[in-house]
Amino acid sequence: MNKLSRGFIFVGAVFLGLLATGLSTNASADEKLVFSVGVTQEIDSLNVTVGYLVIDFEIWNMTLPFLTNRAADDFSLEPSMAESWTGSADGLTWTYKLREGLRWSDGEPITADDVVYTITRAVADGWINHRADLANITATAVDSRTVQVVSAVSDPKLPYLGVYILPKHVYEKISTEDMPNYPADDNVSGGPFQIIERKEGEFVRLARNPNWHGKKPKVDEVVFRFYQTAEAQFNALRAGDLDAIDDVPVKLFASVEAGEVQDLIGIAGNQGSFSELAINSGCEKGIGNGHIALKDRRVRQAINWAIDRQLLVDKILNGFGKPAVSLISSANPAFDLKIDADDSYSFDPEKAKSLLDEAGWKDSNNDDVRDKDGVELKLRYYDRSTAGASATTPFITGWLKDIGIATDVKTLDEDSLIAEQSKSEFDLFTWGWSPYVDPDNMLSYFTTAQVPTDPDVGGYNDGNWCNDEFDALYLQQNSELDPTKRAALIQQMLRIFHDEAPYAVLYKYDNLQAFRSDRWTNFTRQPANVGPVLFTQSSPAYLDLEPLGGSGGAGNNTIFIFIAALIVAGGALVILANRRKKGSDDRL
Amino acid sequence: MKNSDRLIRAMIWDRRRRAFFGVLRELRHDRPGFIGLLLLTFFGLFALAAPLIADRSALLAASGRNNPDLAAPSAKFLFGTDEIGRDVLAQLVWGSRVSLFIGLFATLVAVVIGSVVGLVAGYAKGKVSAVLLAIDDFFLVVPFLPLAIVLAVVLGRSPLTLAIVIGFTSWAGSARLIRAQVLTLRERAYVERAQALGAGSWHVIRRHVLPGVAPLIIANATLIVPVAILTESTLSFLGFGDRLSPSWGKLLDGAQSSGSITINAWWYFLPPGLCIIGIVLAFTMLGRALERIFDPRLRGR
Amino acid sequence: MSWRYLLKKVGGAFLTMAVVVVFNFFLFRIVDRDPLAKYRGRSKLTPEQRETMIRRMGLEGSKWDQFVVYVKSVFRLDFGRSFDSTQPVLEEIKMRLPATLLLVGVSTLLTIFIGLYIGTKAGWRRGSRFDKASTSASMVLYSTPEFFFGMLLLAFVAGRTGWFPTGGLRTVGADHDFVGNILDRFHHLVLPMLTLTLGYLGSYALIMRTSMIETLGEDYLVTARAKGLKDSEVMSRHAVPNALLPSVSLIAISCGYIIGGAITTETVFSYPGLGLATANAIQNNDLPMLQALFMLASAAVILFNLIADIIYAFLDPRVKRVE
Repeated sequence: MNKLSRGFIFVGAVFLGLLATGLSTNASADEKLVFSVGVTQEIDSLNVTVGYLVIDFEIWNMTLPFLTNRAADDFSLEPSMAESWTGSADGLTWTYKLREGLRWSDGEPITADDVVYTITRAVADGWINHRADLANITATAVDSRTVQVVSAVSDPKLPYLGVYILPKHVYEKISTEDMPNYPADDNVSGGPFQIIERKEGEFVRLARNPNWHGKKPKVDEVVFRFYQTAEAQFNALRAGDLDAIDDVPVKLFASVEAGEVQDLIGIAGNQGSFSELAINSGCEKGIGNGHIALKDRRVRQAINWAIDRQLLVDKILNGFGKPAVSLISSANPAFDLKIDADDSYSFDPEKAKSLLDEAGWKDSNNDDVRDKDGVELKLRYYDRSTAGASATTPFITGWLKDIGIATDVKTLDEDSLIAEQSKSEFDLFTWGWSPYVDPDNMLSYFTTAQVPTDPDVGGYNDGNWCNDEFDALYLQQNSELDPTKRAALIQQMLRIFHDEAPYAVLYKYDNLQAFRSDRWTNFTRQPANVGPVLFTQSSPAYLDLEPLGGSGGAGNNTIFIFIAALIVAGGALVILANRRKKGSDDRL
Repeated sequence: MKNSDRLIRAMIWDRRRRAFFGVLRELRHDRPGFIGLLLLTFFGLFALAAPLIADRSALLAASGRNNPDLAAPSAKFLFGTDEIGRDVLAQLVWGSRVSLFIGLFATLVAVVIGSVVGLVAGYAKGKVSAVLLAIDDFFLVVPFLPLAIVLAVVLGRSPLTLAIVIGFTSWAGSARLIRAQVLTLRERAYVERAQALGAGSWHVIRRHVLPGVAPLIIANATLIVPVAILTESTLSFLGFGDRLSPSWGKLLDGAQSSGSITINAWWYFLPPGLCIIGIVLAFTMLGRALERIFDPRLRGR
Repeated sequence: MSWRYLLKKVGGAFLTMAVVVVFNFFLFRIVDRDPLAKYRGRSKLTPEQRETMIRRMGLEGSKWDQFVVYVKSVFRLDFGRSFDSTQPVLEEIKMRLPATLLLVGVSTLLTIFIGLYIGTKAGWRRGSRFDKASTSASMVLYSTPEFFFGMLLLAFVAGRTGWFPTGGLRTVGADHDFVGNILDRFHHLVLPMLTLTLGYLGSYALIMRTSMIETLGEDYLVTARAKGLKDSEVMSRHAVPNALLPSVSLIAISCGYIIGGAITTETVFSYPGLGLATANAIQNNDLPMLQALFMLASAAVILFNLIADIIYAFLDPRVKRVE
């Protein structure tokens, strides 16, 4: 007993001592101004040729330069690397003049060569994130500060050219073969920040880029920390370990909005992000094995009528969003489909049933599942293993069951789902999009050209849907330079998408973000008043953040805890010592 | 002939019945075991009474349509509502069926595999036994939770596959125990005599070895159930469970991901947590008591 | 301990490891997962690129060819590249191993000390109030899923008070000196460690109690006490060392579970060790990563089992007879 007790007391004392000192480290003063952001999404890849998650884009926005930029307030065109530009009379040729003295963070000059190299290689290698913007573009360097860009067709997006420019002196060393595996850990930056440290699965740390040409941010560092659960992340913010978080669970966000959590403010920003139920429409020009029933427009419409979008908004979003019935093509809501409520999908199971009857899908063998020619209307339904991604699944499968459509739910990781989608081997799945500012990208995804025809290449058209009229209108809007006419063309396209229903678009959701209002102010939203602060189109917020001088929330009670821990440790020692003395004579 | 056969059968049944009541009697004097049994009876009744307590339709996602979300307990919702306005009590009672089913079925799978492997490995000699032991060794060392998760992800996530997966990954310990018991039984005089009299292996196993190890199998099984239930809740919590069945683990996961712990919606996260603890405790106490009763060497534990 | 015994045990360990290697190959080949999913629909891979990648992944040719490639690479400790991060698996594991070793190592040590103390005391004074209270508490601890502790600690201790961080390994960007760094690490370790310790404690205390009771029933102890040896002497000289015997193997075996044991705790506290890596790898169907983690975890259990057998044989001469 003696030895054991002593050992126990020793371990206990060491534990409590460490506990106490561990607590006191909180007090270490930090002179640097660090803005720590909690995120639940780990970086997919820093490599701009393969990454695709919003967190990847946020970091590229902070570290890679653009020729031109989007203004924070209204997405209007702004100079960035290029200080000025001129267009030819036919609108096909644009000449950009770069600022003087631009440098990469490693000191190398940023020249027209970098721009031309990026554009040329992106087109040649088909880089996914550059593809839509550069489809018809070629670039040449006139001199070291002048780039000439030629578009093969008239392009309403120009002169905005929103592609990330990469440092030629780094990327020319990487072969096309090695590119997909390139971790992009060179840390050469041309944006306002540069990566200074990254621990995979833990954090990525960015500091001001001293060579940045634009507005100097007040923050010294921005840190993105990865949390496995939204709950841990929220508690870290509440405790003061973080300054901002994205992706706040709706109920927690509501409690912040209601002022129930001290020193926090919540900002619900909308930039057109939406969720949808994708339906494999079985385009004849594509591949895959979608359910035969889904080739019938009426069946797809029936699915749309069966869904109670308002309930999803109320229950899943807690009201932070609104129902949507067609593609959201732009972060700018002005482009959304304008449609009369009577004319559009409401929650009407009877209508859904009659559409299915009309299409010949009836329950002939009384198993509560409709069938036709011996084929049961049972659909594969994929949801994603990502946390929170399956919230709509029990609702939607329940409603589909009510109208006689059975589902077989399978949960896939995102990469695998993309692989299935690239083969068009699915019936239904849920996912979402965050559109760019210009509607062109989102619209292009649903042209026939984006229907997957080779599983190894894939395509964005994840409704596996093709429509000649839509394609024709797409080409028209893509070269229509009159904004009003273009907007009208886009309305037509969205109406076709609505009626043809390759998606059941569910809702537009707000990005729920929360911040330490005791430490920071001047949270720039993009676009002004309605947009989010973090994870925006061009990520301007980090340049504008103002510190309030409030120190970390944690650490104030350190001394108190330190003393408390010492008392506990001392008390434990005394009790145990007494126990031992007493123990030797009263046993059994 | 027929008559005597019936007589023997009656005698056997009588012996079994007496053994059963004997165990019950002993349990009454074993306080933890008795508490475990009472708790189990309670949970069993809880699960059986599910349709009386709540309608199944209350499990549907859309059933919370007109209810407030995360509402505190009230006369209408004794255990409050979850983040989409569903009755927590309804999910709890129906969830008890899912959790119990997975626990019991997984145990059945584990006990069947474990008994067969244990009996054969103990009774057979040479290569068969060596191969079985190698497999058993493997299942003893393989990291249990990751294996269960991988299999669950591969085979699908319905409660049935979860139960099979959990059972399939947790039989190794029982096989070991049973084999050891068989080895000692084999040395006993009556078994040797039966063999000497020319009884076939199957006959010896069924008539002499099996009855000898049966109590051990039962006690061991009672101790596998709680592990299976814990495993199910862990799988669900990690997001690898069946997302459409309201098991207790799924409830905890829902409470966690909706942030109800942080906003102190205790009616949502405490009941499933306490239910898991309660049922695991019940099976564990009963299992340990049975061990004590069946194995006199453990008396007094 | 005879050489034969040792050889037999070592041989058995190798045999089991061989089964693990074979099983691992098949387990991860029944998973229907597109190895190139990461690259599909995003970047155009040329057919040559695709071939190279498939070859590098060891997924070329017949199952037998693949098996040969696989076994060779296992011997080279080459587990390929993660499907998810596209980086070499071995590097990722090396990066995350220390965090897990620290977390589970410290928790295990703590559990052993506290568990043994409680178990010994309860077993020694069987039927006492301490015994009853500690046994009930151990049973409840044993019955509680550890993530439940974690969830409660996270929301009620970390979130409300701010005394401890809710996740991660360290304070990012803090310029601590060496000691400061260690303290900072420890500060982050407290809650996950507490969670794991509470999770393990119950079974340790129960097992130690049982083995204490068994030891106390042995004839020589009864004799020693009857002869009037002082209780404290009986306890420290005879009872505890003998009761510890079964715990030795328990301790060794639980050291082996270091890698697999922390999945839920690391998930709750976003603690980037191997447990979290396992959970993520499963979520992303990252087969090469999973395969390596599996192999590593099994190897650890086998190794520590072997160590337990050997120590046991040293400590308890009876083992020879049994074998």
